[in-house]
Amino acid sequence: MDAQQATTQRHINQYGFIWTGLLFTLIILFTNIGSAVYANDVKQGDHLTIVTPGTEARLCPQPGCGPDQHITRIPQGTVLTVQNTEIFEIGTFKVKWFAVVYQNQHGWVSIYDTDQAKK
Amino acid sequence: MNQITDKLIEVAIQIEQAVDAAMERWRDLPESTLRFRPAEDAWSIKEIVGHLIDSASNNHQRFVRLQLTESLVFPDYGQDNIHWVRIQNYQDQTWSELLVLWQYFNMQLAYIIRSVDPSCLSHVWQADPQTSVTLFDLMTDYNRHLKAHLEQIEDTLNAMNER
Repeated sequence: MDAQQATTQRHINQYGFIWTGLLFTLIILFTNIGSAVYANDVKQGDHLTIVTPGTEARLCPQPGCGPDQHITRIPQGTVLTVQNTEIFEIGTFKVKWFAVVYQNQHGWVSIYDTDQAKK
Repeated sequence: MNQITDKLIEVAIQIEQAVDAAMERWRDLPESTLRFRPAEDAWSIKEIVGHLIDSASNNHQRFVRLQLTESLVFPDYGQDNIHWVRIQNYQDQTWSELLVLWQYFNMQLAYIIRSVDPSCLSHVWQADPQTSVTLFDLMTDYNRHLKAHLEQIEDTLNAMNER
């Protein structure tokens, strides 16, 4: 391999490295965007914030509890820790709920009442 | 209150944009494509759009009625949606009529979502005594359900292209 071939090969290696790095960056970026939007990666121990101004979130004894069955309401801005997750389905309605503890009371909140819903 | 209004306005915008894009893309699909069922028990594109019309019409009732009462007892259609599609025979309906009905129904729902009374968003739809869903959750989840089926239609089109 002469000097010119060696230089060319070095450029190919450099560009290959740059393109591979760029590709990985894009994959990581898009993977994280997907997770943030759909909150598929919310797990036990993660923090969430209640963001339902005006209505206040229901703390339910089980996901999708009946009217007036909620334990209490949780005001906007409350930060909670996820204890568990569950998908609540009724008909075509399908929503993730989080088990949390609020003021020593165990219950469930809907993802749509939190900052984990689509941003 | 602004934050919740912003979230719902975003939902309305997404519904409008999804419908506009779908109209553009699907308006001129041939009948053979529209009637194609990817599997024996799977819906065709016409039937999926029919199901979305059922979703729109049921949610229209919920969205309006839940601004008249704090707790609404109203039957769900989800468990029967296969029968809704069969009874209405969407497979044989004229595509242009079906598509336009779906388009305008969604425009109306987006309009209702934009102008909802925020004080009603905690009102609940009750499918049974042990289960309820807030109007806010219903409006937000309507968009998720719509998008899921739009992706299903794209999957059907891709499956056809690969044949």
